[in-house]
Amino acid sequence: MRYDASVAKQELQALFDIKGRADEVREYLAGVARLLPGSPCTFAADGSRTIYFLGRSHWLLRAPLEQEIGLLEELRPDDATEELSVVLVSDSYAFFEISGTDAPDIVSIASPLDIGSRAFPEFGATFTEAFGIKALLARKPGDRGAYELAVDRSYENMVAEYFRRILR
Amino acid sequence: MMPNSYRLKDGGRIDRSKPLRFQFNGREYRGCQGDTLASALLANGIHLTARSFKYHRPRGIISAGCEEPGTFVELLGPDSSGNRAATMVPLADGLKAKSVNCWPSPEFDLGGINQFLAGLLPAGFYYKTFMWPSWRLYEPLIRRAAGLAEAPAGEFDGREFETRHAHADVLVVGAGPAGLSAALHAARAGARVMLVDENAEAGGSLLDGRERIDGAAPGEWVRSAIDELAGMNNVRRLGNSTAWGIREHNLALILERGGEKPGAMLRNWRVRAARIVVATGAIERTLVFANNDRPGVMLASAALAYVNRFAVALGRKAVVFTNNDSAYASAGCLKNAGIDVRAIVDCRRNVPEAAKLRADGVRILRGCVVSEAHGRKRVSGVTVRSRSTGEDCESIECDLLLHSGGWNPAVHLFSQSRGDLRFDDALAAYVPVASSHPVACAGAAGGRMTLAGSLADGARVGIEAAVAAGFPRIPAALPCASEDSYSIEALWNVEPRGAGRKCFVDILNDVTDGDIRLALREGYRNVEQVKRYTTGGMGLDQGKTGNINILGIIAAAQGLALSELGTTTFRSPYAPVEFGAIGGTRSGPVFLPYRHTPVTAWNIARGAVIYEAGARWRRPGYFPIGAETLDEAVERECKAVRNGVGVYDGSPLGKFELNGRDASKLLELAYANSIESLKPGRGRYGIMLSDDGLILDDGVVFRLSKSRYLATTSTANADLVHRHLEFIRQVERPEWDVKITEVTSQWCNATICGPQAREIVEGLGTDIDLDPESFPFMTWRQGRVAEFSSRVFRVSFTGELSFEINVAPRDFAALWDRIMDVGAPYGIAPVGSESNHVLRTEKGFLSLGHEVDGTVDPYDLGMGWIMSGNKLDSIGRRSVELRRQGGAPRRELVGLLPLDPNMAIPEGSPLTPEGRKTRTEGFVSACVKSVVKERWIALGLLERGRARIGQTAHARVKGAIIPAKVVAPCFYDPEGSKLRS
Amino acid sequence: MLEICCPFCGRRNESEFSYGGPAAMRRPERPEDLSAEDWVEYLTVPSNPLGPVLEHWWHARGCGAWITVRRDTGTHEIKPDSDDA
Repeated sequence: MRYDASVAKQELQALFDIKGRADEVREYLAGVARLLPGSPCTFAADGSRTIYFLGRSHWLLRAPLEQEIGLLEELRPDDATEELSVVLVSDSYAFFEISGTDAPDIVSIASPLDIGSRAFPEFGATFTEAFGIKALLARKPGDRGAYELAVDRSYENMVAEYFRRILR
Repeated sequence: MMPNSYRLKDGGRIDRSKPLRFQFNGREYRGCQGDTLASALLANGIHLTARSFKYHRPRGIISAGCEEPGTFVELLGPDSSGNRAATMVPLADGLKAKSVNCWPSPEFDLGGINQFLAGLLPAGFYYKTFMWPSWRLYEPLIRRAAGLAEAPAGEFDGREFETRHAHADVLVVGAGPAGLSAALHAARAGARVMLVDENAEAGGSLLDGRERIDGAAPGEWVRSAIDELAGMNNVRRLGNSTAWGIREHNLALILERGGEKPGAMLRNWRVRAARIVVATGAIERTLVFANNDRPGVMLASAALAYVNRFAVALGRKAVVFTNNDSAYASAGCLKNAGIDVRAIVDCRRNVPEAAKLRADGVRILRGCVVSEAHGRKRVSGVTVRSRSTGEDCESIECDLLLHSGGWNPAVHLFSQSRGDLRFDDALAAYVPVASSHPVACAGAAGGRMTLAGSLADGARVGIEAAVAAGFPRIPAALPCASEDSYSIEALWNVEPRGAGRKCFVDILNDVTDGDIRLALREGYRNVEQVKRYTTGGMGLDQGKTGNINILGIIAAAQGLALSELGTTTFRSPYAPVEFGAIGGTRSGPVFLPYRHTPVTAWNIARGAVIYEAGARWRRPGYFPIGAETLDEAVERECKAVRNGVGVYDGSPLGKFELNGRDASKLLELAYANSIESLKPGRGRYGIMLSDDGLILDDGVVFRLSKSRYLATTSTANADLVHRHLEFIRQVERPEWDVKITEVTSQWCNATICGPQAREIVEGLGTDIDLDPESFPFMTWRQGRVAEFSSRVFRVSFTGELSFEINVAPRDFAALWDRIMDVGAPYGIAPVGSESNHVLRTEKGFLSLGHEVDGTVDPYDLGMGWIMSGNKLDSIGRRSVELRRQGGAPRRELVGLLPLDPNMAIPEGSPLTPEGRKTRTEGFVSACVKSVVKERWIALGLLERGRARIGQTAHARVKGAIIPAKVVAPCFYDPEGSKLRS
Repeated sequence: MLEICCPFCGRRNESEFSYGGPAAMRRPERPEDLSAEDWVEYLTVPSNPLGPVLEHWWHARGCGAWITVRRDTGTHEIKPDSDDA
């Protein structure tokens, strides 16, 4: 194998697409996650839950699948205030974790994003282009320097094939 | 096996202890680790290595670098690739190469007959000769004769390609003295530096020369520079890597050849750099004189490289012809290697003393030129002419003729970055001025022709680049190096004595000075025209060594200075690049993007024929059973839907949730018809126009609650509609409070359709009341179907009772299996897109890309009611009104029944009056074999079609005219009682 | 391949964006009040000068924002639109 890297498809997780003003989102999520990421294109982890800040008024809440029903009851997307848009999108994305010493090389094959530590430090998270399609890329903290890449689930098989070709 | 008879006993940067075997044109040779194919051939005394492109003249190796115009080879085996300069192919054990442009071999080449027909092959020969009756008749033959390498056949199983992105604060191209100096200084300032060089070894010209740096051999300085760079984690250095293009905003394209082992990877880097330093050195130019293309006639700089770097003696008796100082070093170098340098022929009257010192003891013929080289397969001597008398004055026997026409700064990349050039009279060359992009030249590429000057220039440019990229200014730290003089007198060509002697300005493309003059006589004036007409400078080498002579000859013929003439734009690629490397990982199964639904695997297992439908989805076209043909399978599927039940995967449909106080207003603006009055729980068909009044998309909008909607789009247009809605939201109406979330992949849908659809849904088990009274057509319900949380929509694309069961993708495959189980006793058929096309055509439902082709408005489709509301503004409304006020006849949607019921009309066929060959009045948008009518039926757009119902229209197809009766565009259940049932 | 600065995401490759046409003219608030000539002028006669132009770009593969940039059609120099900031 050419690269010291591995790619693992992640299990389904609960995902909520949240759009609205930051203060309203913070208030709405107060009981669910205490920490909202402050800077654009970053994420914050709060226990098992992760919140990505991906657009001017766009967040993504991610949690283990077993919390999905509880979060649905707590957040009640259908009854959220008119100022907020809360949509369950758990199935919309397929997540891949890229880890290993050469993980940055794999990401650089996939995407034109500058992943240097100044432009995209730990806790970086952004929508970008990978393999010609829209993708969510996040850089996990820690020495291992793993990345997560999420794509529209309809492209899951194609992206898996790309990774297989790169890692062969 | 031949001995390396021309290999020098010692010196060079090759490893004599590692012999390598290779094949050239089928014969075995031996070289050393560190050789290129060219140096290994020369070490074996092989100078005749190629035949020329047009005249099939014998050719040899001319240079030692990427400027090579003489010898291109095709590599065979695992690294197969075509048109590689022999000078740029690192030798590897087992390498197999063959010459291009000759058959069966360069020694005995059948095409060589062309050189005796040369008088018949002037500039523009192809344009003039092969135009009657048609170029196409001759093209295949000419392509074969012109040769170049053949495209490799078959799959590249052994070959790996990759494209990778990178970012740098400072990208330095070239690791010669200037590039190393620039990289060192930028990196010391803290910038993220990328340093690339086309050679495996750093050093550039220092690898060839014999200058001193800090009193030591230059290799010492190169080694310490490389060591320092290797120790910094902000530096990435690539060897064997050619920067072949610079695109907008400093995107550099770099081809990395992954070393010398067979099957090594080719990697194309796309590097976005804040600043680019072009330190690509300078390229020596050829001189133009009779037979300047003979094997054994080489650039003077090549001698330095072959003797010093590769330890190859190029011949036994040499003559050097020059118009500048640099060739004196080459002469001195040959002399030191024991080669008999018989004379330096210098066109200048006065030669600087410093230059003479470099070739101490060699006879110098000042004010003389070489008027002709002799010999055919190898140079055997030269005739020298005195410039003052214009008479030939001496003949000298030799087997090697070195020549130097001066040096061109390698400004190719700089020019690609939209950099301006100016002609410098002192250097007799184009030098860089300024670029609109942050790109700067350093060293010889910037016109600094001395070693000390290059080192200092590199430091300056490197420091400035780092500062511009936001890093501190550091002081320059320069080693001590020699400041050799350089002077030149322009000499663009030497007139041949008598006709029939060819003086090449472009050796690779076989263009002579005569061709240039012919083009000028025929009225071509500017450089661009002359080059295109003669193909001068348009070969694989891009005329790196000869272009300037073309310009010089044009300028002289027109009495212009070169500064007045201008030059053409340099274009990428700087050196040939394999297509595979540009494609990178994107080849084979992922060459085109594709999308799957959770039942794609089921479809394939079931034997479906898979099509690519809109928006990259792979969808089943039809599901043949056993030996069924397409027509048989489609008929069976359609009958199942009309008489029993069928099911199809509607997951790819575009789906968007719109939430917010102003969601209604946004939809009201986006759709031509009114959406606002829709009640929660209900859906409405809507048409979306663009502002030019033409249909953009259609779909059903469901109201989920007061401020929440779900809008569905056609599969192919999901992205387009998304973009359109976001444009309205963000640009046209930023003050409105509405959010749009794409949920296309959050919901998969199985559409159960047919008279027995309700039984199937009941059989699956559901808590939704399916009674048509409580769950009528165009409504939706939330509930559980089977055990899955679902949204069920009652809409219909087939004209039958339909339930679209939407579930999360995680549940979809299980739901699908349940539907198949429950449906089995009813003979449920999975239905593909072919049958869908038949069923919707029978019903007269629209299909994007068929009836809706970007030229129609709702009235044309008989859907004027869409526009009838009293809305003030919706996108497209104003243009529809304006166009219809004009009153010009429009093409309208009609049904067509071929008079012969067994006659199909190919979709897309034009409709013309009486089928005559005249202006079309419409076209056939769909034609299918109807299962309800048991005949062929069609839809079409026909001028004033609605008024012509009952008349006959005519489709004009190749070799026939098909008459068809014009009818209303609906062949099945026009009252809609079935889909409402 | 351009590099375009998104106000939220920063400098990004052109492959993340989709071109959205000239931005010099805004869609009239009430098209029905315009003369036919003025409406056609708005719809079909965008200027195409050599030099700086205002353009819409959709950050389709990024944050989803429609942004306005000032691009020089001669040099590709891109500056964020001052009105947009």
